[in-house]
Amino acid sequence: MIELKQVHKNYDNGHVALEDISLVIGRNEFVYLIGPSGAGKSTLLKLIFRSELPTSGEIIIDRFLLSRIANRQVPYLRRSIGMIFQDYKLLPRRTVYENVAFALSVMHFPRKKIRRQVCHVLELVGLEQKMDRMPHQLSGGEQQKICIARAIVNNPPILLCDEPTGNLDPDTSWEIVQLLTKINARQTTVVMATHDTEIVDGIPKRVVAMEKGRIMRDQQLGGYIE
Amino acid sequence: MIAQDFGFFVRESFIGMNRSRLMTFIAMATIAVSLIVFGFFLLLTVNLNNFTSLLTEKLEVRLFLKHSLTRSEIKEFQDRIRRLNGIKSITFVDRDDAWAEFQKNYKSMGIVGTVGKNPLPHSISLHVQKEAAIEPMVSYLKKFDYYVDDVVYGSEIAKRVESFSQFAKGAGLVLVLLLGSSTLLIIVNTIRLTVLARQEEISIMRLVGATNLFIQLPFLIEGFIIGVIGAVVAITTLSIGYNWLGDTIVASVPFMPLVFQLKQLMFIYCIVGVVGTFIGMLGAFISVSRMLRYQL
Repeated sequence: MIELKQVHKNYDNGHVALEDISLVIGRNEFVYLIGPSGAGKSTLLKLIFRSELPTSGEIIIDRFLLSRIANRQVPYLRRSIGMIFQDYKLLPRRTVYENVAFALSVMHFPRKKIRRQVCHVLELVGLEQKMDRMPHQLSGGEQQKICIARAIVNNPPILLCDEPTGNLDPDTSWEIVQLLTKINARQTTVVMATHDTEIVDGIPKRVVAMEKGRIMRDQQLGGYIE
Repeated sequence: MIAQDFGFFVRESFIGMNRSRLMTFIAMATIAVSLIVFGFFLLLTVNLNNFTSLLTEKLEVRLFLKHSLTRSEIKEFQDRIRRLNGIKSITFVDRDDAWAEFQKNYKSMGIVGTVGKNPLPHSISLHVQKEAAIEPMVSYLKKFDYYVDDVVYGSEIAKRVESFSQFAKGAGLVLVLLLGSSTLLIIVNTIRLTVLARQEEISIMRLVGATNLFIQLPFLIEGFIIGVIGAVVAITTLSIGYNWLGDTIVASVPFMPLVFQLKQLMFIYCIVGVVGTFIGMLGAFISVSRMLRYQL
């Protein structure tokens, strides 16, 4: 599903973000990407999402060989990857419903189908009662749920999560991760960058630990600390 | 692209214009003003062309023949001229016909009685194919002094009109290019403001897999609308202004050959409209593409 072969990423200012990363993530896996800030977790996700290109090495996502695809194919790659963020990245002037529907409009879905799928996914995340609210009227956890709903509304095979619980209280964080495992159970590969020790230890999954741009540990059902 | 998307794009573009109302207005006004100047020069050029072509048509060389010539000598001379290169037409004008014409034209001036008998010689009226050929032709014909008494032609005025219309065309072109590029700059910047205002939205669109075309279309529609409105304002101003100016000129200089044919005017207004719309869309395209290029 996701394969990285000897990936290096250097920034123009000489900073080495990733060094010799080789990693295979299979279909329907749930992987925690852990490590301190600056370890390269976000960079890794950005490379998978192709919002940045590796300096060297090869990345294969689903059926896409990232070094070979043209810029105009990137949108199609992204339609098979859902992405959620610490800061939600919602459109402030649009309702909950519109924020989610937007993702499907972009893919030229017919209106009826959009309606059906958006309602379905909002039910899944538990926001069906609040679909006409504006994002700022909702709590952080609820906003994160909108973001999740938007990311999975078209049933992408991969869901990338960049510190999804970074701004949330522990209870809400639990709720969000429960939701992510539920999504994982629906045949979606989930890669979640986090430094929330409680969650990693509380819901054990495969753990990939990073430090200074390198993978230090890759362990099935591992904890936050080895 | 499905029809329902179109409504989405149009809505998006109106939201964009509403968000930067002042700049949108300025862009429309700039397009309108530039198009008015552009259209003015088009109208001027068309009129000058019309005027020069009328003059060139009237440009005849008149060869006044010697009184001493016999009919057969005239015939022979006529044949010689006819064989020259660059002659469009030649007509022999009998002195009696010329005299009758003269009497008819200048009856009111009362000189006919004073002159008495016909003072005019036989003449040959001759048109050249190209205006530039007149001078060499005339100096060549002057050499036939056995036949030719005098050669008269109206080249000076034609030359002046011609060179003026050349100048006007050149100046018009330069001005139009300058105005066109400054208009384009303003449109690019206007639309860029709306693009920047929606940068976050655009990055989210890219996030969920929007194609560039999908992102660009609302802005292109915005440029299109700005262009069309600017063009409509310009065309309205031009047609009202031209009719008013035309009426004023014709009232004081009745024989001024102004172009008033609806077909020709419509053509000019169409050009103005198309150019305005094109500039609007091109400006939008440039600013969005620039933006998209820097963002992966």
